[in-house]
Amino acid sequence: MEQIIFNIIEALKFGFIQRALIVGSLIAVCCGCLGVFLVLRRLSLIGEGLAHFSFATIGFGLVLNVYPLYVAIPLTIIFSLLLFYMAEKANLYGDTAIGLISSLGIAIGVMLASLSGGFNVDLFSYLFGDILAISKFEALTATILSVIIILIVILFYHDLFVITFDEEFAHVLGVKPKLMTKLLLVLTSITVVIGIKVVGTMLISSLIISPSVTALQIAKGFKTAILISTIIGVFSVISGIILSYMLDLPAGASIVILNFCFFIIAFSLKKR
Amino acid sequence: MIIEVNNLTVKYQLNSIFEGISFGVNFGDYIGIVGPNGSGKTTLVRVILGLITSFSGEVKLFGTNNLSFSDWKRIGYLPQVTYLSRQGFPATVQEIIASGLLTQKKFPKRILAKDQVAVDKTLKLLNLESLQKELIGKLSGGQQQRVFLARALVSEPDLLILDEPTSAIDPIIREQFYETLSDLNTKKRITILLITHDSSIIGKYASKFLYLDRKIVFYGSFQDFCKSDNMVEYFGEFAQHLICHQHNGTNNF
Repeated sequence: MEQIIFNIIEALKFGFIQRALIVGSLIAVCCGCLGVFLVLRRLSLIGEGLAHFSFATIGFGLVLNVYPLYVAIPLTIIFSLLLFYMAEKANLYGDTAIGLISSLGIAIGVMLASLSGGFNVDLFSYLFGDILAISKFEALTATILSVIIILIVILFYHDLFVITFDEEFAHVLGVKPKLMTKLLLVLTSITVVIGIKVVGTMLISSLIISPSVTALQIAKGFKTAILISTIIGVFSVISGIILSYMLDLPAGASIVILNFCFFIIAFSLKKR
Repeated sequence: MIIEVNNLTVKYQLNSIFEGISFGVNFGDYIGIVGPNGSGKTTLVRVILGLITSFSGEVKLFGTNNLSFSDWKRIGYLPQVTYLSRQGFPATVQEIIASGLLTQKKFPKRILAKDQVAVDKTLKLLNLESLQKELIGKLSGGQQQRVFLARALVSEPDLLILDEPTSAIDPIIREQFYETLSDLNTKKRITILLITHDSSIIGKYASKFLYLDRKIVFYGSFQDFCKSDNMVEYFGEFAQHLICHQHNGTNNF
């Protein structure tokens, strides 16, 4: 046991571990709070769709030889708004549409990436995350963006709450439901893209959905749901990173599996 | 005038829900909107509130065109209960009621200590104190209706619009509920617009009666309704008697 604690303390001295823990935790906070709104509004699949689409945009960045996240963030935001208008005009929020777009996103990503010079380790890291390899610049960008997202959620908390509870009624409370939904989608798009480094495009939606679903099993209020979801997300990221470092496991996959374990625990607690 | 409706027509696909209706609501009125299922009662209030935007004609709220109206703190609205969709929602009664205060807030919206006082007062008014920490999704339909009424009342609005507020409330509490509304109307001078199926009960409390059936069949005071030969003809003597019978003695026909 002492040896384990010693190893953890030793690990914490490394810059790359510190960066991974800070960035991972901040992204987990973003995912944790946005997740509660998305899950309760039955929009969890949107996260999945956006993540898979962002993979295509990363492929695009690789082809253009531009830093992929620069391309991915604006394109994913535009795409999320496009999804919103499609839902309004053609009622296409359905799982079928998202399923269609998700696989197309991955296919385009793979196609573009192979055009840019074939498969390499880089592509794998975008699919499944590589938080321990995060650079100082990436860490700084992700930190700034996460802090902005968290601040926006805090500032618009009440508006987001009322559109989640009853979108139509929000109008009578002087809140603009469409504008708030767009804000939620834009924030989710940015979170999904910066979260790619942590768990990858294939697994990011899990970091959005799992902690919030776990929190919803046990929460006794809306604010508490967000708080619990955030804490679970952060805890899963920190323990996932440490576990992966010590046992030489992939961090992204460890985080997702840990999250599922937390869900099982919360679910059985609720049953009692 | 609080509400002005001029020549309002609403269509759903090719069918018109109602055509060319006009009426006005004055400060301090207590209006019961009655009519059969599908007569357009809910549509009417949703148009007034700007929740339905495709209509022709003119609707004014407190003198402002309803689609550009923004002074929402003057209005409290209780929509029809959609019980199932709330199941499992993790908000407490207190959180839901406090959200009714957002109409008074500017960015960044915060719920402050004085807001908590307003919430506590409304909880007390509607006997909801024991439920304040409960999750909304775990309450019965009737309890939820009272919570949503509290949300509509907490900002002390000038106009209260209620859509079938007693549909999930059992008859004993229903009477208390109507008493509470009457008090709000007479003591606090809140104007009330209430959609109901209880045409026999509403006569006891409301000051005016709007009978809607794809057009305005009758709009006016209960006394006039009960004296009207046209209405006797329209409803049949028995039904009209039922509506007028329980009115609190002011209609001596």
